[in-house]
Amino acid sequence: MDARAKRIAGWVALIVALALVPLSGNYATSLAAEVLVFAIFAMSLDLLIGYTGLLSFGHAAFFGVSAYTMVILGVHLGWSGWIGFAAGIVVSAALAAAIGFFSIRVSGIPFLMLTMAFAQLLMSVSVKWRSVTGGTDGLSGFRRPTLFGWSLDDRALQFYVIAAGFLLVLWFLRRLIASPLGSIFIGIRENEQRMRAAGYPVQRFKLVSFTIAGALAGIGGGLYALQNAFVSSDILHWSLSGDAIIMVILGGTGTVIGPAIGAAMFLLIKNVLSSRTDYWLLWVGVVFIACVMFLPQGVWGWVRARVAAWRSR
Amino acid sequence: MPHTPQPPDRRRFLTGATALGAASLLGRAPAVLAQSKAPLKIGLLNSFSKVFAALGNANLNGMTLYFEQIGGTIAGRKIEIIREDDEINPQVGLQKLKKLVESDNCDLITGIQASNVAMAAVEYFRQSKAFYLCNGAGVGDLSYTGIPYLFRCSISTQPIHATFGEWYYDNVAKEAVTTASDFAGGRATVGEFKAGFIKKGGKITKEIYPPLGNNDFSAYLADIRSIAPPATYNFYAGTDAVRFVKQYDEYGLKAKTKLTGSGFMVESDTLPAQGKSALGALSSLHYADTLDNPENKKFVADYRAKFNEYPSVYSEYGYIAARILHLALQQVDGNTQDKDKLRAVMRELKFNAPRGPFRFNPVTQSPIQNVYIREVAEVDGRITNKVIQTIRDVVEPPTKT
Amino acid sequence: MEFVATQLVNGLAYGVLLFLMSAGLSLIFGLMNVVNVAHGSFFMLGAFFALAIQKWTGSFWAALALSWIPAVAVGVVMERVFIRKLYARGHLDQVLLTFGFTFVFVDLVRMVWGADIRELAIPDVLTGVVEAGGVIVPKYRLFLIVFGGLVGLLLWLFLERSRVGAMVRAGVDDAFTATGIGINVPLLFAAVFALGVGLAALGGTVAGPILGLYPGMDIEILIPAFIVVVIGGMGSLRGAFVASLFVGLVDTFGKAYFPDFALFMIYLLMVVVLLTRPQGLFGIGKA
Repeated sequence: MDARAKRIAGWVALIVALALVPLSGNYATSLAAEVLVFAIFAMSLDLLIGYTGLLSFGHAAFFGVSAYTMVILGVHLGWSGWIGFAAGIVVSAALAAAIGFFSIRVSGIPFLMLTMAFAQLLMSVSVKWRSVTGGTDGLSGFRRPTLFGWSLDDRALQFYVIAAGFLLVLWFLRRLIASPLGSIFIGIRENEQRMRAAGYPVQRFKLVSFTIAGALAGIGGGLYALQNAFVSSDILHWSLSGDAIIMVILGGTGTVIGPAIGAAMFLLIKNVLSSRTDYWLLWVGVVFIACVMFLPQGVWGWVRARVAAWRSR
Repeated sequence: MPHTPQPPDRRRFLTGATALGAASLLGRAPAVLAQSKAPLKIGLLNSFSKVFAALGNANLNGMTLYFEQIGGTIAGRKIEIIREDDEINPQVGLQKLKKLVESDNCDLITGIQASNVAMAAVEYFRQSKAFYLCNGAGVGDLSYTGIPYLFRCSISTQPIHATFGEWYYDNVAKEAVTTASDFAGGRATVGEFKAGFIKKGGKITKEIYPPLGNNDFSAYLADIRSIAPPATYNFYAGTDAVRFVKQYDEYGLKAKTKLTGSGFMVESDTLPAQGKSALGALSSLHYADTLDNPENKKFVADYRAKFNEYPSVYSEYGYIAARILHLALQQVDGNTQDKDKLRAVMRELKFNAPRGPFRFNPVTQSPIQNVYIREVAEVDGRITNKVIQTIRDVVEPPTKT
Repeated sequence: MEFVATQLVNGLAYGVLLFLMSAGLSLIFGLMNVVNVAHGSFFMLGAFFALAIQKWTGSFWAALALSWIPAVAVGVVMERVFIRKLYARGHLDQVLLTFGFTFVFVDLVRMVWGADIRELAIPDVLTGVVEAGGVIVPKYRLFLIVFGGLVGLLLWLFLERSRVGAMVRAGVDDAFTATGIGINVPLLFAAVFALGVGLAALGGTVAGPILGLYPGMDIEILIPAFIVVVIGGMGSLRGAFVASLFVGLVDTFGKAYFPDFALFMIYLLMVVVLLTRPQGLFGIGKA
């Protein structure tokens, strides 16, 4: 099978697998949906960390602001969730452009701290502006939109919408990375000096990457709002940004789908462990440390390497 | 299995139909008729990790103490508590709730100490019609959801704080400076205090809201000192409460400005760390472990015997939640399928709890109970709350104020 | 006037607390180029070890004198077994590794000491307030100011005036050449890491009585510590000292005069500094 046929086969297999998920029951379906939502979040962060070389600790800002936009418009103004969803993506993209504009003026540790500071500022706003955001208790009463007359309260339909979003983001990221723009991002990560010397307006491209990553996180945020019909200031907390970083590292930064695998691993480990022990944080830490020490390419990266080695023997 | 309004899942239908068919072929009674002998699965959703871990565990301890005392079965059904950790995170809590209701097939749900998790769960309870007995979160809004199968046996904060507002006016001072952590619970508490206090004619000199998780209160304490009110009314939770009370004492404010606040600010989860700095603090709550009634004396003695420590208000929540489930389920012979019947029976329950007489408010399905005015004192070498006044059978407003 | 004077003293006391919390972090980064995200964990460990020592000996002073020892032991193991392997790999991996350790430490503390909030009692001689000219200062805060100042002074003397300090500075500036002139750089790095960790533990011990001890306290001081180090400049002890006092004063006066914006002010300050002078006020430009 040539490369193109293999790729198409891969997509078909993925689509079929996702289509069959709702047969496993309501709870499993909602667990799978949660994985996909966070997979989108993690993959969008990987555009920054893995492909452009920007370690951001404030990515939850774009995920959260999008969810808030959708829920606030729905609860306070009665706007349809679909309009809210679109608005959410626009808002998170605009916010990413604004925050990115300032943040990319620095790099390394200052960049890390700056992105975190901006996210914390946003969280402070959401905690204080209780009349709009519900503060720490959050906003409930969001009515999910309908899809061609069918209610999205139905767990299976909800899942299909989320899965569609996931596939879209996955496809988009793969095209992006394969495109000339993607090569520029990778070039910036590899050697920023050289890119500058070669005449590329590096800052502009960093901003583009940051904005796209923010918009994609916004898609994740909107789907989160769809799934939970609820949002609270926890969604803007930097620990969510930290969780996303864990997912990216666990899965591996080298591929587009690696972080999605990382998201699945992280959430499944957490869910399984927390039902069995109160000290699941310890185990997450241990797994993460082991990954950083021994599998720098991430679990998925390691799997791919083993498969390639096995193939070529 | 609990009935949900979701369209029947085809796979489950097929499995169920096959099972029914197979069972009847084999001549055995189908599972549904033997349901009263099936274990009673109680889903307990609390925070067992992170900052509220102590509360979640105390809550579970209270429940297990009671269930052990009645022999671990109700109406012939063996009690099985399935616990899940919500990590004080609403999204995680929702996911775990779905697991308890849909995957573990729990007959009823109890727990939820964190207000934000409880608020996130409201819509899910409304849609899934799962039977929920809240034994934690005190957030006022939970009384006004109008959901028939949602009960609350812990507290509703409004009566606790509004009653204190009135008592403060009569017994402490006619003016107050209030401080509270700047989060939903803090703002709500001050609002509830004001409802009682201002209604009587009290005057609020200043309202201060330090950020949640604040380390250093010295700036605010200096501010209070320069205003020099006769007393302050405060609310903080957990570690913020510990810091505030310790620093209040550190700055020597207690002598000239009395320290008063919500009972949660000086409760068994904070008093061990606050130590002597909490002495003399006045607060209101529906419980104090020094309550002098036979129920409480037995509860405290039994709890100490089993867990080697004094019970907290969260343990008592768990204890009477277990008792309510016992009394209600006994009356319906353990039938958790007929939720309307269970609800009807639960609404009529009246009994004496360690906290005093307990019954449900018919409008809000939250408790009608005593409110105690307490003072932190050293009793038998232990720093705890002693009751200085009892206000009986306080009822919360029937609609949201 | 007394109000301002009171807030000034409050701000200084809080600033000194921040200094004790952040000095270790700044040192480790400046001298080893390692971002120790688990810094807050050592702060927490120091406080809990102090609690254990106090229970065992009944003395706060013993706890203060000894709590850094077990914390440093943990830090040395962490450095030798884990961080050492990542020196070649760069910032990102060190941040991630130490981030992973925060999860491990917090649950270990919870396993050993439980989830309840604990009290680290201060000796009677330090309880109570001192009143002068209408300004009231708790004795313990005065003690903090003096103690913190002393620690700062000793650190400065060590780094600027001692031979070991000179070696440390050499190792930082140019590890390659330093090795060439016979300085055992790996040993030096281990010693500096131990020092940084010990400072964090000391900070935890003195802050414990004011903040209360519980397994989540590591996160609560991590942000303020990072803010201070970012503003003052990574690696500059002088920067850490000045920035701590600066942040302490801004925070205190912010709370007193702009209470609604207290939360924002500190983050806003960080953003402004990062955008105008990313290496910090006294930083050595190691970004």
